[in-house]
Amino acid sequence: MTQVLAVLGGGPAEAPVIDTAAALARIAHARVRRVSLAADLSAEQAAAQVLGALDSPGIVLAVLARDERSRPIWRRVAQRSARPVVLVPAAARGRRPEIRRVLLPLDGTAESAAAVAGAVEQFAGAGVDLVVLHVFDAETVPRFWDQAAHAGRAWAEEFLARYCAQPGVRLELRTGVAGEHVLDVAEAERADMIAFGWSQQLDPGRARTIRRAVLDAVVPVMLVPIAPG
Amino acid sequence: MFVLPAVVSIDPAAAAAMIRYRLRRLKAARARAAGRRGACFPWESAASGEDVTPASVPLGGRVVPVLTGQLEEHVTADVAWAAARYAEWTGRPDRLALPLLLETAGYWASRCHLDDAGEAHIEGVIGPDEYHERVDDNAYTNVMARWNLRAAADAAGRAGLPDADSRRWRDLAERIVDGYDPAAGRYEQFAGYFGLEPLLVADFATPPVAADLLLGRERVAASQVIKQPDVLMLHHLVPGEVAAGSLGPNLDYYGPRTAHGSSLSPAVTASLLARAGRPDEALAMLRTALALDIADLSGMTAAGLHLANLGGVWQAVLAGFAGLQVRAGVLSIDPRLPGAWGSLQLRFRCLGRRVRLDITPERVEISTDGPLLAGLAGAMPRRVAGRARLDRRG
Repeated sequence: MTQVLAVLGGGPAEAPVIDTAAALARIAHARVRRVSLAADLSAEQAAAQVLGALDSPGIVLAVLARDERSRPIWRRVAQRSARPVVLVPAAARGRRPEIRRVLLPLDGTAESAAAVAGAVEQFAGAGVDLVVLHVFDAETVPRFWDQAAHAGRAWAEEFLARYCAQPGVRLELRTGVAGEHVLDVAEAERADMIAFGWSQQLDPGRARTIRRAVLDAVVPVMLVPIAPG
Repeated sequence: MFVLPAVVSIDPAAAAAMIRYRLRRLKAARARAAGRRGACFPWESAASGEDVTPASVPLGGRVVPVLTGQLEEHVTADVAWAAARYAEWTGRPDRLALPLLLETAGYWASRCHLDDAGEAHIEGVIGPDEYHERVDDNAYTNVMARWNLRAAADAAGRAGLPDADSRRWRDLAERIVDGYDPAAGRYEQFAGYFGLEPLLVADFATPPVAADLLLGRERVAASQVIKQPDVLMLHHLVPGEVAAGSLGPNLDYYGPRTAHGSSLSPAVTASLLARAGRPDEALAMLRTALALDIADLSGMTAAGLHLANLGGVWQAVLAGFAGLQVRAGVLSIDPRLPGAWGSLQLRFRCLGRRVRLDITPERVEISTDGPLLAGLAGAMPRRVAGRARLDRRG
């Protein structure tokens, strides 16, 4: 049977990690497998333990606490894992343990859409409400936008057909810097999770939107690695 | 403005059907003019002839009111212009066009507001540049209304109708302000436009770009950035109504301010650049228009082809590069070929004939399936039948 890995290392986010893992396990028709990290492990050793567990047969994703104490661990795991990693903030405590709505920021590239396609299918199959967010910037803003009332609908239909072809998905469009909109839209939409496809690059200047979401989100953030091209 | 001028040169019967569509909805257009005389056509028209423009649209997390249905009134003159274009291009009498010309002129006559100095104004409209809403004395709207009044008066005269309305329309047409500054050779797009932030498109993007999405509606509205030709649409549609020699100065001024965020914009601009004697620039713009659906530049071609752009492309080739005009039963030809084109061959319909043109930098040859009055611009037209070579001597 497939399993969702709940990585426990003590700390305030442990309860939300368990809740999130359980909620995801229900969606994936999986069961939760808990992995406890000994307190005396170095970050490298702890990450190696998690990555080793993630490589086990049947494991579909890992759920980790995202707090300052465990930062060196989750960074290593997220950057090296071939499977999705869900980072749970301590602030997620007290929120509803169900995942009813997921926000999917999509940048309009086939790669990031393909990365989350499997997760999207599972969410949709489980009846999770999906809201796609696309943020226009100087590089991605459409060249033509004739009559707003019609262009918006036609453009949204085409965007979803290309990048998130699931029934019932809704598209929210914003303009500006993506990182400045993701959390606001997640809050406005009362999303229970944010899911990104990502290139696993956290170097300065890379993945600004994801770094900001991971660090500041009050809901779990799922990072799905983009398969090497 | 975009589709009919192309269709009338390809399939005149289909163009006639487009005019009849408007005639059958005159009653609804009269009702829409409520409180005024004549007929006011809707911005978006469907089966009933009532306006079906959505009232609002969700955009960027907000619900944004859509004002085009209420304020983009120039469509009424555009309908009249299309009817007149049909009559002119086919050489048929005004029978189809006349009711549309008269009813729309009646609307403008009651829509204009005379100030204390006796000048006529049209306030609170949206011009073809839809980035600026609820503006006063939009040059395009005012000049098209002026053209509409004069065209209706002319048509009424030809039809032998009583001339009381015609005199009133001609008088009003003379009074309509158009924002033209003879010293600069420029039209002000609307009252107060020159005082807006002098932002150029190159300051923030490479056109074509949907500037309203990128900068936000409020920022764009406070600037001189425009969506598509507005003043310059007058040079495209009614060159006889604008000041002689004003195409160049207005192209130079409004070109850098035009985002081309409307799919209609590149083709019309290509036509205008060709007429301004800049055919190589025109060709670059034409290529954008041609690629719009083929390369899916809009990201939404799957929802349907941009037919008005296709009509605009055909117009750019006919009216822009080949310089075709039909006036008073004469086909006039004034080519402006880009350097990359060794020749241009066209087949089209006009004045009841099937026409073929073979244009090179050195010569223009015409073939028709029946007698036709034709000539190069500036030369005396002559009656051609079969195949003939046209030259400047006439």
